[in-house]
Amino acid sequence: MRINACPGGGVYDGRNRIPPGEQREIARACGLPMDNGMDDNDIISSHAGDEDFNFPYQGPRALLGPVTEALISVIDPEVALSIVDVGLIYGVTITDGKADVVMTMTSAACPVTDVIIEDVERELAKALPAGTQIAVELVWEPAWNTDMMSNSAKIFMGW
Amino acid sequence: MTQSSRRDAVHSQRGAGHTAPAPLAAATRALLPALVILALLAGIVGGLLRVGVIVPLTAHAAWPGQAAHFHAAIMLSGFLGTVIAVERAVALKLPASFLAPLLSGAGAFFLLLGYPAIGAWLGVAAAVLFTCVNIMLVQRQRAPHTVLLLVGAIAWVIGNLLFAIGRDSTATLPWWFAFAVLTIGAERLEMTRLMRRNRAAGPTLYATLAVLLGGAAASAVSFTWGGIVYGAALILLAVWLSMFDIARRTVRTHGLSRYMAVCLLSGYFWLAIAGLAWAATATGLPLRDAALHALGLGFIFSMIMGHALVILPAVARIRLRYSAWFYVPLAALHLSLMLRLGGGALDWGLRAAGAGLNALAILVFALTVAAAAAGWHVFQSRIDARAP
Repeated sequence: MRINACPGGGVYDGRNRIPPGEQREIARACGLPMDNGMDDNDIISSHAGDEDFNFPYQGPRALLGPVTEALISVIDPEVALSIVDVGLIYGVTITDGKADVVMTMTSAACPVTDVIIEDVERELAKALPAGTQIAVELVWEPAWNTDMMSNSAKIFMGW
Repeated sequence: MTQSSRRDAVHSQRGAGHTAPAPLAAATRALLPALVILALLAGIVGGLLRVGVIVPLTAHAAWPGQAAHFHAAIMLSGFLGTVIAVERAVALKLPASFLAPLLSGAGAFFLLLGYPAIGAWLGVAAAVLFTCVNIMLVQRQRAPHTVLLLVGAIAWVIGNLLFAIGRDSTATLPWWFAFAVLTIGAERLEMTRLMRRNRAAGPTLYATLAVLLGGAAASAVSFTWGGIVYGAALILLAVWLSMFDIARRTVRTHGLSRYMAVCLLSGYFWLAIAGLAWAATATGLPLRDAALHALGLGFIFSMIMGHALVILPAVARIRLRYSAWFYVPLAALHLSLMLRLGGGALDWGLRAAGAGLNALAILVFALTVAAAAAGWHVFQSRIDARAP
C-alpha cells in the first residue's frame, strides 16, 4: 500500500520524505524490483516506466534513492504532484562527481520554471555528496505529453 | 556549501546569450514592483472614491481625482496588465520583453499625473509589445493555451486602443476583462491537460471564449445585445471551469494545493454571478457595480490570491511560506463582496461599506504575504542551522 507515496499524501507537502530504506520496503510490498543483488557502487541504468517513481537514470546505484527522494520532493502545488510524477524529468546522469539533469516543463509560458529548477538544484545538493557539480538543462524536445505521467499521478487525476 | 560554480554552469545553459546590462536590469527590477504597487494603491483609492468612501487625502492633490476617473484603466491595464506582462517576460527570458510591463506601468503613472493621452498611448505600446512576446511564445510551443494567451494579448491591445481614442467604458471594459479572462482560461486549460479530459472540453472552451469576444465586439455597437451575450459567455465559462478544472481534484489534497483550489473554485462562483449581473445590467437593471466587482474582485482577485504564492517567488524572487493564515484575507474578500453586492442592492451605504472592506481584505492579503516572506526566512534559517 503506497500510503506515503500517494499524491496528496504525506510526501507531497515537501516536509515528510520517505527515507531510502523505507522506499525499498514500500517497493517490495508493491512487488517492485528494487533489490536485485547489485552492489551499491555499481553503475546502473534504469528507464522511465520500470517503476512508478522512476526516470532514466545512469549512475551509482547508491545514489538512485537519494536522487529520487530529492526529485520527488520538488512539487508543483498547482497540481499537487511532484515533477517526477508529472513526468518532467527526462534523465539524470551522475559521473565523476558531476550530476546532469535533463528536464522539461509542461508550458513554455510558465514563469515558475526557474523556481522549479532552483528547487531541483537545492534538493539535489542536499542529497548528493558534497562537492558534486549539479547542472540542470531545460529542454523543450521531446514535448511533454500525458503518457509521461506516473501511474499514481494518473490515478490521482482520474485516468 | 558554496554552489557558485554550479550556478554559473547552470546559468550558462539556461539563459545563454540573453542578459541585459546589469544597471538596466537592476533599474527594471526596482522600477517594476514600484509601478505595480503604485497602480494597485491608486486603483484602490480611486475605486473607494468612486463608491463614496471618504478617503483621507489632501484637498490639493490632483491624483485622487485622476485615480477615480481612470479606475478601470489603472486596475485592469496598469495593475493587472503589468503583472501579467511581467509573468510572460519572466517565462520568455528575453530582456526586451520587460519593456511591455514597464510601459503599461508607466502608462498608469501618467494617467495619475494628469496626462491621459500619454498614459493611454503608452498602454497601447505596452499591449502591442506584449502581443509580440506572446507570438514568440507560440513559436516556442504551439499549443492551445499559448494561442489563447496570444488572443488575450490582442484583446488587451483592442481595449487600450479604444481607450486611447476616447471610447467610453461600454466599449473598453469588455475587452479589458476579456484579456484577463482569456489569460486565466488559457492557464486553466493548460492545467487540465493532466486530467483525462472529455474530448468535448477543448472545443467547448474555445466556443465559450469566442462567444465572449463576440459579445465584446458587439458591445461597441449594441450595449444591450453585446452585454447579454458577454454575460452569458461568462456564465458558460464558470460552468466549464467548475466541470473541467483540475481544482476539483486538488481541493481534496491539503496545505497549499488545497488553498489554491479553494481560491479557484470560489472565484468561479463569482464569475457566474458576474455573468448574471453583466447580462442584467445590459438589460437596464442597476447591477453594474455588482458585475464589474464580482468579476474584478471575486474572480480575478481570487485568482491573484491563489497564485501569489507561486508567482511572487518566480517574478520577484521572494520565497513565501504557506500557512493557513492565507484563508483569512480570502474569507474577508468573499464576505465583503457579499456585503457589497447583497447589501449594496438595498442601500448605497452598505455598498460603500462592502467596498471599504474589499480594500481592507486586499491590505490584509498584502500583510499576509509579507509575513509569509518573513516566515520563509525563519523556516529556512532553522533548516540551515540543523543541516550538518
